[in-house]
Formats: sequence, C-alpha cells, structure tokens
Amino acid sequence: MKSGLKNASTIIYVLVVIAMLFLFFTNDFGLVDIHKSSIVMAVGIDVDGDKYSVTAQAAVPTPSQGEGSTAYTQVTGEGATVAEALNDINVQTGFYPKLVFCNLVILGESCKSEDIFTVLDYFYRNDYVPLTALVGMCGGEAKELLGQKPAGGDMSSTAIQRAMSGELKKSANVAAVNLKLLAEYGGSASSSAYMPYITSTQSGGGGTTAASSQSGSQGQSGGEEGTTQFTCGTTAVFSQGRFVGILDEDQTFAFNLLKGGVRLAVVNAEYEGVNYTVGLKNNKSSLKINVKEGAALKIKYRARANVQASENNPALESNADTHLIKKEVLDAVGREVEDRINSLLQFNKSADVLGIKQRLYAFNKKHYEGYKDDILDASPQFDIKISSAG
Amino acid sequence: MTALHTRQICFILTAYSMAGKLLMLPAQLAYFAGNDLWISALISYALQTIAVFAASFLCSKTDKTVFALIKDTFGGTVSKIFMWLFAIFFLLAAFLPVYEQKLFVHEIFYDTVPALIVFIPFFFVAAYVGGKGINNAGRTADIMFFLFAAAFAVIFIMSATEANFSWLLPVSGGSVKGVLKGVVSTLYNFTDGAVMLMFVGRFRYKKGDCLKITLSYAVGAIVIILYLLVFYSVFSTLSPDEYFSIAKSAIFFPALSVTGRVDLIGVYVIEVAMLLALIMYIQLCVQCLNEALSDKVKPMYLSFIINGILLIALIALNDKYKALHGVYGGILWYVFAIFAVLLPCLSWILKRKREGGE
Repeated sequence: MKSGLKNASTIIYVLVVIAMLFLFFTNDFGLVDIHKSSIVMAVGIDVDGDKYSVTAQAAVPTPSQGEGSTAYTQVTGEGATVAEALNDINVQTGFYPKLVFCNLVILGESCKSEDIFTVLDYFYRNDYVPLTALVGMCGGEAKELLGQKPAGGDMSSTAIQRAMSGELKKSANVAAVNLKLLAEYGGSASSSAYMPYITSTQSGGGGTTAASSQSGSQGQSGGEEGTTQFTCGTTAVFSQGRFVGILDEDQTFAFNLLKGGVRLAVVNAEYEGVNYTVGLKNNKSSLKINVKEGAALKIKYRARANVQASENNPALESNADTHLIKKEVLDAVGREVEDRINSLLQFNKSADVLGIKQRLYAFNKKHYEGYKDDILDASPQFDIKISSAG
Repeated sequence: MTALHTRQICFILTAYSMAGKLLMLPAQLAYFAGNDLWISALISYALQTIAVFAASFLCSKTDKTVFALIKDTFGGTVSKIFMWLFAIFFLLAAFLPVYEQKLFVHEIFYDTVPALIVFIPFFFVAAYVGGKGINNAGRTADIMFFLFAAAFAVIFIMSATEANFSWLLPVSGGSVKGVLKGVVSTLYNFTDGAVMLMFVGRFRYKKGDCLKITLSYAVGAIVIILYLLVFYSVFSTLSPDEYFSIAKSAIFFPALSVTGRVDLIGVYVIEVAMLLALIMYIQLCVQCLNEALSDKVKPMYLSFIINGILLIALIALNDKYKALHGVYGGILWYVFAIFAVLLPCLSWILKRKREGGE
C-alpha cells in the first residue's frame, strides 16, 4: 500500500512537471490578448530638432476576412529618444509595439544631420529586435514614405523590403544592409557604413500620398490609383556615423561587385556604336593592399560574360556560338566596369566606403599606423579580366 | 559504485561540457579579448585538459573514489571537509549558470520580458532529477549526446554561412592583459577537471579509458573553439553584446527568412542539454553532501534543499547579474582554479591503494 502511494506520487509529480514544462515552452504563463497586441513590421524614424518621431507600421491581428485582406495600422510617437517615442506609441494606443518581427528600419532625410548610430542605438540595445532587420534611408520623411501605397497592394514596408531584396543584391543593383552589418562596418577601423537610399515614384493618381500617418489611423491594402513604386538603386554613405553623400547607380553597382556575393550582374557596353548588354557570372573580386614599397591598392576583378541582348547579330540569325563575345566587346565591358569602379573610388575618399582602412588593419596591422592616413589617396592598380562564358 | 560506463563519462565530458559553454562565454570572451577570444578559450581548455587527463589517469591506478583516497591519506576528518568543500563548490558552479539560464529563457523564448515565475519549473525538474544520483547523469548523457551533437551541428553550419573570418584578423591584435582577463573572468565556466575528479572510482576502468576520456574532452574543446571563431566572425564588433549567441548566430541563414525560426528546434534541444548539464552539478553536490552526512539524509531531500537554496538565491539576487559576474570573475575565480585545475592535478599525491589494499 505504502509502495503504491509512493509510486502514484512520483507519477503525479512527473505529470505536474511535464504540464509545467508544457506551459513554460508554449508561453502560456504569459498569455497575450490579441486585441492589445501589435506586431510591428517596420519602423520609420524622423528627427525634428531634438525630438525623435517614430512611425511604426504594424500588422493588426484580425480574424480572417476573406482573401487578400491585410489590415495594418500606422502609428507615430514622439520623444527625446527613439525608446521614448516608442513608449509614446504605447501611451497613445494602449499596446506596446512588439519589434520581434520588425524587418525594416527607415531613416528619414532629417537623420542626415545626426549620428545614425545614436539614432539606431535603441535597436542595438533592445534584445527583442532582430539584427536581420534591413536598414535604409529615404528623402523626405520616413513617416510619409511608410504611408504611401505600393503598386502591388501590399503594405509599403513589404514593398520596400522587396526593393531591397537579396536577389537585387545578388545582381549588384542594391547595396542592402541589415542592422548587424551596419554596426560592423560602423565599428570597424574604417568607421564607414552604407545603406540603400530609397526613392519612390508615383504612378496613376500622381502626387505623393501620405496615408495613415496620424496616430491610430488605419490602412487597408488595395489597388487604388496613385500607387507608389519603391527603388533602392542608390546608396547613402556614412562616415563616423555621419551622412557624407549618395552613391549613384553606377557607383552602387561597382560597390556591390567589389563587396562580393554577386551572382549575375548585368552591364551594358557600347562597341562601334552597337549596344551589348552582357551578363557577368562567376564574379570574383579582391581588394589588396601592398605595403612593400609604400601603400598601394590592387583591385582584381574576374568574371565570365555572356550576351543577354545586343543590337547586332540577333540570336535567331546566328549559330551555336551566339553567346560567345568578341574580345573587343569584352574589353569594352571591362572598361565600363573599370570606369564605374574608378568613379566609386573618387567618391569622397575620406569616407572609405570600401573599408580600405579595415583591410589595412586586418591584413597589415604592422603598417596600419604608418599608412592609415595615406592609403585612401593611393592610386589603385586595376587587374580586370572578363572572359567569355563558354 | 561502478554503474557509470566509460562511454557515458566521455559523453558527459563532451556534450554537457560543451553545452555549458554556449551561453555567456562567447560574448564575455569577446568583451575582454576581442578577436583573440579563441586564445583565451585555448588557455582555459589547455588547463582543463591537463586536469581531466590527471583525474582520468588517476582512475587507472585506483578503484576508490577521490574522497576515499583522501581518507586513506589524510584521515576521515579531512575527507569530510573535502566533501563539504566540493559540495559548496558544485553549488557555486551551478548558481551563476542557472542564473544565466534564467536570463536565456527570458530573452530567447519570449518576445517581451516575462515574469520570473516562468523559470521556476526548472527547479521542479532539478529537484527530482538531482536526487537520482550521478548514474542518472550517465543515462541522460547516453540520450542527449546524439541529440545535442545533431542540434549543435545544424546551428554551427547555419551560423558559419554568415561568418566573415577576416574579422578574426589581425591575430593577437588585442592585448595580452585582455586575453588573460578573459581567461580569469570566465573560469567559472570551466569545471570539467572537478567533474572528472568526482568520477574517479565510480566506473570500471579499462585499459585506454584515460586516452578516450581525454580525447573526448579535447574534441569538445576544439569544437567549442571553432564555434567561438564562427561566433566572432558572425558578430565581430557586436560580439561583446551578443549574449546567448547560440540562439542568435543562425538567424542570418538565408532560408530562415522563408521558413521562419526553425533553428529554434535546435536551440531547444541544446537548451535541454544545458539544463541537464546544470542538473549534473546539483547531482554532484547532492552526492558530496550525501557522503559527508554518511547517508543519513535521503538524496532526494538533499536535492530539494539545494534547489530551494538556489531558488531563494535566484529570487533574492534577481537583476543582479552584473554584480554576480563581478564576484565570480573577479573574486571567486581562484576557487574555480583550485577545485577544477589544481586539485585534480594534485590528486596524484594521494595514496593510490585499490579496494583489496594492493
């Protein structure tokens, strides 16, 4: 009898432990009221004097209302810091913005005058903000940008993320960056950072629409006139946390080629008055610093090219070697790439957008103190070879 | 007394030892040593490997427990004193990591700061399992080793895809002082020599076991050092702030943006291994107390008392992590150096008679 009771108590004990573990791992100790929750998908930050204005675009958890319904709300809070502005949103709306799913942080044009790492400080301190969130800067107000209606009928944040997608990065068209990479570059010996510069163009209804920008206002995706298209082909550059300028599309292209990770870059070159649009595959680039006889930069780039389209020799009229490219055309493509890289290197040399000082520190630490001030002015040697894909 | 198998000891010294070094250690080492964090870890692991080797080699010379050897050499009173000292040591060794586990659970498994109560179920499990003795640790290690290895491999590979190893350059870029400070401040994570000392005489030693045990430990050490390299290559300048990296380093894996946080399955498995590794400290503490009290109190009761002490301390010192770490890293480090490094090496001075008096 005594033994039976002992066994029963052990079983009950184990069952209680299992039940509690179940509650523990399913968060049932902290039940969440769906009506008091908001899942922030994107945050826009504007600075007005010494005040921060934070706009949170949040998905509103609602019961299913049929196909294609995506309800969201856009709320703006103000405060002396980003954290206080988010708290202001809490005060205004009654829910505390959850940033676990925040995948986009947009800095308004007003942030150009601030140290971006001071602006973004909250996101690095907060343990619940994912470092995978993409970061970008826009002209005008971030609040206004987030309030625009995209062409696809999505939330604006979704459309902007699509404009910064990894695929565009792999084609060298967008220099996408997330919170982690931004801090890494900013904290490196180069102290330089970059992020896509978002531009929006209106179609249909014309004029910029600033929808849902007031606190508590509601938005519903749809296909109304006056939709906006977002592009991120240019790149905002920062040095010591401060804005220094914008890389144009060609410089952004060259920047991406040198940063690496490009799968297929499309570049147009002209030879004897004929345009050739060439796809560059197997992109390999390196930036080396030679310190044997003074500091010198060596930029090496290799790729294999095939013709995507040309104004000469259309594919239907040619033979099996259609995709092979004449040496002269390859040279023209090489010159085009070199011109773009040169243009990039001429961009605000002290900004060190390519992280040259960091490379000097990492690979030639002995010479870092001696060359760190001169290396950015060193003339680069180019070694660019583009061969025909075969 | 000989219920543990060599295999189980190898699993414990690999999986449980590794699991115990995945929470705060990477960020703490990065804070002190920067990109030389692996050198700090290498020093700590070298010391521990020597201690583990010394303790496991002792097993080849005796089938008695270390406390029995102390009794033979210095007498019963000294042996009792060491039992109490080791019990306190394992209690100390458990406390800060338990505290870190609480922080880990609060940060990783919840999207806002939850109440303290969510961690309390751990003590129910720890109280129950803690009273089951170290043979239980061997049996759980049999199961957990393979689960842990699979989960860790997945997290490691997913993390490595984001690694930029150039952040590890220049080698020895930091100061020697920083590297040594890293060793000292994180020494409380390295208790493996003391754990191995507790296994002396508790398994049937066979020829070559010493090598197997030491190699198992060394393999775990190499894997952790490789993980530290990946960790710093992923987070670089952010590394000192990236506590609980094991739950964060894989989030940059490209497919996760489509599939969601499936890496958390691996993190949950590793979390279970971490908890069992902590419970092992409690089991060792219970064992030392049980021997010190000459079996007068049931191990289960002792386990409840120890867990009660840990729980009360956790509640009393809630939100005092920085101060606690300061005490462990700045004051108590020598306790860990003595118990986990020095004593296992000094155990050779004990009279090594076998049960038959040979």
